[in-house]
Amino acid sequence: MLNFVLRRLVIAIPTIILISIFVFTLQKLLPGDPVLAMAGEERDPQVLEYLREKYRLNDPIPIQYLNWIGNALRGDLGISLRTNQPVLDLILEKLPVTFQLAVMAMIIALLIGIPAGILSAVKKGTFIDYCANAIALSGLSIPNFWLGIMLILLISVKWQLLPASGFVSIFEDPLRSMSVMIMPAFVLGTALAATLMRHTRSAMLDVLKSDYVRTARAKGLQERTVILKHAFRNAATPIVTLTALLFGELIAGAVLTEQIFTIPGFGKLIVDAVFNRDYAVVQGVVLVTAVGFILMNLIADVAYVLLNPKLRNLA
Amino acid sequence: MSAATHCNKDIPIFSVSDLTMRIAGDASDIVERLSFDVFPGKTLCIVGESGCGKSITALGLMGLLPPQEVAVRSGTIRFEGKEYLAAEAHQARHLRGDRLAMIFQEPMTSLNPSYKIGVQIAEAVTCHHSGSYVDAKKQALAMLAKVGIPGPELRYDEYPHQLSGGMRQRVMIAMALINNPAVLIADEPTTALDVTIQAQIIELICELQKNTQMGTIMITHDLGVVAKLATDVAVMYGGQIVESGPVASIFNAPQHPYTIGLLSSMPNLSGYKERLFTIPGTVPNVQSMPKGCRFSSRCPFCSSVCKTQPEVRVVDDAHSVACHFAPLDQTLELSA
Repeated sequence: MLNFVLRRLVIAIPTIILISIFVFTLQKLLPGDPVLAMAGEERDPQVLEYLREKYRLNDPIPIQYLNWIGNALRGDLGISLRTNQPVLDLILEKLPVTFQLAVMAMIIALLIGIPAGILSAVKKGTFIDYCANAIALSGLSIPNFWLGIMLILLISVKWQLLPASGFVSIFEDPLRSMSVMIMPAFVLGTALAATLMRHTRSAMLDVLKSDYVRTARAKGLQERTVILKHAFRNAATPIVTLTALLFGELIAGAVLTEQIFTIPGFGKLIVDAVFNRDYAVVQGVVLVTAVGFILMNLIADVAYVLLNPKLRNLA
Repeated sequence: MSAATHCNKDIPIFSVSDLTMRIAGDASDIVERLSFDVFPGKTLCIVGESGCGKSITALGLMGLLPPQEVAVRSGTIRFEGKEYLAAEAHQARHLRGDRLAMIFQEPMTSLNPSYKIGVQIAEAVTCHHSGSYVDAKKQALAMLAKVGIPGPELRYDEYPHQLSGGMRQRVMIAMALINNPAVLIADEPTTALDVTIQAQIIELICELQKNTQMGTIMITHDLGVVAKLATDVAVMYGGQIVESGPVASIFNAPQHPYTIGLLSSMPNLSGYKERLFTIPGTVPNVQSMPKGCRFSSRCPFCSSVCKTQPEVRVVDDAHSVACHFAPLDQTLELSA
């Protein structure tokens, strides 16, 4: 097993290198000069030249890349051109926020998506199935920002049940933090629940047709045991993989949702950085996101192997 | 149910009468007016070629057909002295896997790939009987040994993919028989296995049956299996039983042209070799079944009278046949 994980990690290295090159190059291709953005009103060529030297922007691009990636490997992602804070500090400050939002959204998605998927597969072709599908379809097609605004209007403004914004760290005041995050998490979660529900449904439909489910029924097991133990256990593999990948996407930040609920997370960090040509921050955030995504992929692979006895022995 | 009825070998332990089933959306019945009895310690073989409705009958009797896909239109089942409608077989969950067990054609896919085989066997015990898992495990280990799996303690913790097809079928048999069922339905249990393993599995079923006095319904298209196992035979064609009776009577004096055709198409190892007999054509599908005698479209003796449904005639002690020409005047000489 350890061998398998190590092998997957080694395979991930070229991916990360490629992503870093890609991010770096793309950044260089963007219109707009970061030095101008930094200098603001200042247009003195000497100052601009000084800044270029300071941030080593006059070096050839491959050298710049090697400098950056070399520092990154040592844990130094550079300094924000905008705030002069180390990029790593900025990321470490925002990551827990996004992580909390992602976990809450994922829990909501799983709690809605999986039972709905199982139910609509078991009751295939009935009213319940159609309802679940209709809800899933609306979950997929209602834009997050609209749902977010509607929730704020209804729950925060009209009924005044939950705060619309005012982020508090979960380490300071867990209850308040949860109550602020529950609405954005719900907005993100329902969209993912729809995807999860569709996948659960099709995986369950496949499995319910299988011979071993018939065997389980022939054994005289209760229908609930047949479905939850014998069928769902086998349908779970693609769902676990999907969950890990969706979680990876959540970590990358939910730009619109974070904007609407003014949550100081990854999404907000990257949008601000792009607007300010704060290339050090953009690169740092994208790199961390990519590594996070690759880690989630790895977790998905490992889970896949753990769930499948046949692969478990091979790994 | 009293112990007396259970042990009386002259009273059928499982009898089906008038079973008619139809696939949802079809215009005619896939299985029509099936009736048969199974006696304790005896084996009823249901034979017929592919598509004649054997497997669907087995699943119907077990109550494993989804009611929305296959409608059981009529029929009653009498099992261990209790009578219930065949249409309600799917509600008889407490019987399945306990008093009434089934083994399937496909051992490769019939076991759940995610659970240890021992756990899957023990589950059959725990879901019908109160008692600890430890007891169930003990029983499962004993059963694994009984079906001829070497090293049960080691095998108990293995997953289906670690076993061969023959081993998996033994596991399926262990799972089916662990609760000492009164009736076992075996749906072509050897079809997916290679020949040497087939013989072993048939031998095993034979042996286990001898010890337990369970009644067996063996569904097969292999007449070799019939010769080895059957006490009674029911020949199915196009969803109907066209001939039924004791095995000797069916093999020695077949009355229905279809039975005669089936027996003639069995290869003979001794004697003069000639081209093997085949019945021309295939079983028509449900929609294009001929009116009257369903075999008439392929029958060499077909005449105008065959346009009407033949009634079931008793030709000999417990030997009955649905053919206008029965009983035959003379016994036909089979395959030279």
